[in-house]
Amino acid sequence: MVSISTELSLVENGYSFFPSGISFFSYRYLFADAEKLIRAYGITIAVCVVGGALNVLMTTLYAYPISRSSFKYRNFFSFYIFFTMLFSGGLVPTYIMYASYFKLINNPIMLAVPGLLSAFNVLIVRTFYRLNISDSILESAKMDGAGEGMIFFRIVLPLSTPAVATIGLFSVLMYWNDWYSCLLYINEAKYYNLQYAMYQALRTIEYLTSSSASMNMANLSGELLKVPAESLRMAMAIIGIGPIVFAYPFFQRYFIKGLTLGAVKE
Amino acid sequence: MRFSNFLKECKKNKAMFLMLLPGFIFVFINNYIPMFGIVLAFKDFNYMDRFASPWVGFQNFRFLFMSEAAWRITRNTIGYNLLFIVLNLVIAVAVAVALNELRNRFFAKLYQSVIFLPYFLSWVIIAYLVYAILSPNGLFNMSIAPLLGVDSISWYTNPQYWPFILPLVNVWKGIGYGIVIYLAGISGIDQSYYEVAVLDGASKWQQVKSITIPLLAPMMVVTTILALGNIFRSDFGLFYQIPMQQGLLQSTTDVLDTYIFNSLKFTGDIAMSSAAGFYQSIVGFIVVLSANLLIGKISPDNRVF
Amino acid sequence: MKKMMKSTKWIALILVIAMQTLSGCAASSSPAPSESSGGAAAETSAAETPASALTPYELNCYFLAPQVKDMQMVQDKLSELLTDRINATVKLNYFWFDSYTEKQRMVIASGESVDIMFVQGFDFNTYVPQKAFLPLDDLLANYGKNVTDNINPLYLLAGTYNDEIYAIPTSKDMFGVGGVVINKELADKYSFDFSNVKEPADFEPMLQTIKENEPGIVPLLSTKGDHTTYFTNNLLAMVSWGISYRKTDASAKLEISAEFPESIEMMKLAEDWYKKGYVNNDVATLQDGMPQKKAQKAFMWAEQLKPGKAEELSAQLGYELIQAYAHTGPYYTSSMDLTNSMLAINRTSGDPERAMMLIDLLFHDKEVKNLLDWGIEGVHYKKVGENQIDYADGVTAETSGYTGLGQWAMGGSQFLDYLWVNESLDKWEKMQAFNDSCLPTPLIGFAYSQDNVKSEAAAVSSIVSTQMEAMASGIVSYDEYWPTVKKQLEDAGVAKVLEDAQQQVDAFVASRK
Repeated sequence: MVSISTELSLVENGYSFFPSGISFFSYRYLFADAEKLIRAYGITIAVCVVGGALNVLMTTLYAYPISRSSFKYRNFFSFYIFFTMLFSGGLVPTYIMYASYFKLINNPIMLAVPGLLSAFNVLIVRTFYRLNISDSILESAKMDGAGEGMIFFRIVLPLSTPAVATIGLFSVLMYWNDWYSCLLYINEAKYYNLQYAMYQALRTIEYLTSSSASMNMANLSGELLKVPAESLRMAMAIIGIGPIVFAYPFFQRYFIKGLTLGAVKE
Repeated sequence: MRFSNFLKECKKNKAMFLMLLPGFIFVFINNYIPMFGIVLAFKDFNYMDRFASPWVGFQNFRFLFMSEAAWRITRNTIGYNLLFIVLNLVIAVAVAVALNELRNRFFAKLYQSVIFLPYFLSWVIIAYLVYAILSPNGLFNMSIAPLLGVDSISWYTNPQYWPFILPLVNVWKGIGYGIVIYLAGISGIDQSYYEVAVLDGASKWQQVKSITIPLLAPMMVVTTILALGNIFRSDFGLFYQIPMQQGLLQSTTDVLDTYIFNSLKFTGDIAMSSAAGFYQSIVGFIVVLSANLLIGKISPDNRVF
Repeated sequence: MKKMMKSTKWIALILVIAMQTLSGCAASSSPAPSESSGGAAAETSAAETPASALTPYELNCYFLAPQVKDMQMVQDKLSELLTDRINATVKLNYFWFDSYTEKQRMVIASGESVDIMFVQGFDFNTYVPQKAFLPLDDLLANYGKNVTDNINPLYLLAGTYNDEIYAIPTSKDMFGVGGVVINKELADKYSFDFSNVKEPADFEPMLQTIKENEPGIVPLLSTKGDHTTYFTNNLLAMVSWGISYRKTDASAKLEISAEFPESIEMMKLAEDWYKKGYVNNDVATLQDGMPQKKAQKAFMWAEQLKPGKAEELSAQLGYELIQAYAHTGPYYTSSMDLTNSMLAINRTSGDPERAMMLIDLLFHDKEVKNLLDWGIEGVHYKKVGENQIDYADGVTAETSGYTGLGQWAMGGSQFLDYLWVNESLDKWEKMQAFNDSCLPTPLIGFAYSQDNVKSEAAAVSSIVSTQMEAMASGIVSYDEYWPTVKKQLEDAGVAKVLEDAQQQVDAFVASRK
């Protein structure tokens, strides 16, 4: 509620969960450059949709072979992916590779690429497959002459909607909350995603209202300086999480589904 | 010899290998190629020679083991992580099972959404919420303490409160994540198990105890082992933002990641931060290998690799 | 099968890249400092070289500046001006406080060819010993005549490491004085006289009066003990985290900052003020005092002052303020003051000569300098006097596509900047007089390299950055708390850092004699 408090009431009442003295200035400030904000929303949504879909596809594909006890190299490939969870070369080598060798700096696909596959998700899905997709189903499908691809898309995926929904949710959330790859790889404001655009707006306000900025205040108007940093922070939290909260029930459908089945028989 | 076996296997299981391929290649590029950067941990880095900078052995690791701080941060890091692992496991499974037993779908969904909501908030925001409650002029000291007739408490100068506050905040923010995983696990359980149990006259509690929990066990094992791999890393935001960087609280809030950050924030030394990361990885690696070995002895099916 | 073929090609490609990462980086990262491209201009001053004699070149520049809408427009216009003057174009890269440090590190580490880069303070001490930048003495002698003519020599000294110049500071205000900004209305109400303030303790009677008579007003608003820091900075100068020397001490004897009598006295004063309730009770955790200041809930707070600071803040906050220095002069300027905005030329620059020519222009070419500072005349601003500007017609602070930059960060001489209509026309004369009034500290030109004691310095930095605020805020007793911190510092090897730094300082001081 802090996001709609006026700054003065913030000071007088301390932080309060209930607004006292309503002002929507923070929102007006953030929405002032509506074009920029809509653009940032667009970029974030696009990254969530495309990145999320690719992430789910790659994760479920990779997890399947390593979940099958009949697959000889399952341990090697499990270890191969798990290892990346523990060891990483760090930011600098990763940056150098993408910047110097792939020349992908300031390319919006870099908002999606680094997060395309997570070892954690793969291993969760693998466990899910192991538990819930019995060998007998697969064997009978094979008897009927279905190829592995067919089995995967026609049997495995449909049977694992709760797992797919779960990692879909996780990867969309990850993309939604990500501002760091934007900081690292994107140079132009037109490719900023939502979280980074807001992060930047906030840091700018913090700077402008800090004393170090006052070396050259002449060209700044008073209005801009009245933005309350605290309520701005809260307003950004609301704008930032609003849409994803609405998207959440969409995913929730899938993992509450089992619950309805359970509820029928009683 | 082994390679020809591998090729044979490839031919036999072409489809399987094709499924692995996109992920395999991606991980190779995104994770394995930059891993060569670990050499920086052993180099006296300069920007002219970069990866060809001179070797310095273990010099860059020294700052991690100096002074009494080393003991404190190691204790805190491992202690909090073990606590978090247990709390998150127990609470997430319990809540997931409870939600699943709720007959009213609407409330099940509502509760779940409410529990999940804090996960969307950044640590900075949560730090402000916590501060709004605990600051000298905050909700606790201004409203709750007088109401209860207790003295006001200076939360931000007394380290003894933080081993309770930090786990509380951590569970509050992160528990929804675990719940989602276990809910998915539960909803994947074959309903016929329960049908048989109901026919046998098993009570709800018996169903949970002998069907749900055992069938969720592999999921619990996996998430625990994965968490053990990160035993030497901490959620930086939790330990940096929530205690508001108060030096007085250090004895109970300082962990490896905050120590590394505070040590290197002024110089941004690439080699030393690389060394710190490598150290965290090695410890995690050893812990996971041991845990995996142990699990392999108890129930071979649940090994991670 | 076809897919398989494709993927083997992929793997081959990836392996090649991997090999390059392993072996090739060293080769590709150190292009020889170009002597070929700018060869035509060798030995002669830029001013005498006709632009057409130079081959066209694009200068890749990194500035600390916000992402403004019209950067491209300014970049084009600047390229136009520079083509005319030094046959160069520019690629501007603006990153603001949210990302500059990160981007700078990544860009330098990646070996990207960069010609001009903003750098400040301790970053300079980190990057220069790690060979990120080029030494500039020869370039400055050959192509930077206007720089040397228009900058206080102390500045060039401050950009020095091991007797070689590595960065050209921006010529601007050369120091600041720690002091307080005071709510004028309250000061008048009790007719306080600040002209007698000789040291921080002299504020005490006023704080007491406010405390007793103005409930609801914080006598001294402090965020994390910043008043202690500002006041102490008048007397001590830091060479490394936690280690300082007395500004008046010509031999620059180093000690742990918190052990100078001056700083002990200040921390004890802070403790006393906190106990008496002169300082806000959330001083240890308060991160942003702006709301309280705007709401006129504070009687005074500490600032780094220069003439006119209170007026600037008055305009910003909307009520009258006055200022008072915490100590009487003389005032000193130290490396920290002089190096907070500098331009360096990267080792990866394809044409360092041309980069220096641009820096040279920023010190004497009003058109170039003001274009970078304020944007394009007629689009972003209009001239209302010879040296005075206002927003162009139909443009305001909110709608302008080139506003909010820190002109002090754009390099060159700030004395060339146009003034805004609401600024007094003698601003630069005043700043010049202010600059002339300061004395140099003994260690200007000294940059401490932690290379020998990296581990100890890191451990010390971790303690200093977490433990000093409590004492500066006054929420703990110095006598009780300091021994525990000191013990930590000793364990971390502060003695080694001190010794190493003193050795470097002594060598420096000896070489200056």
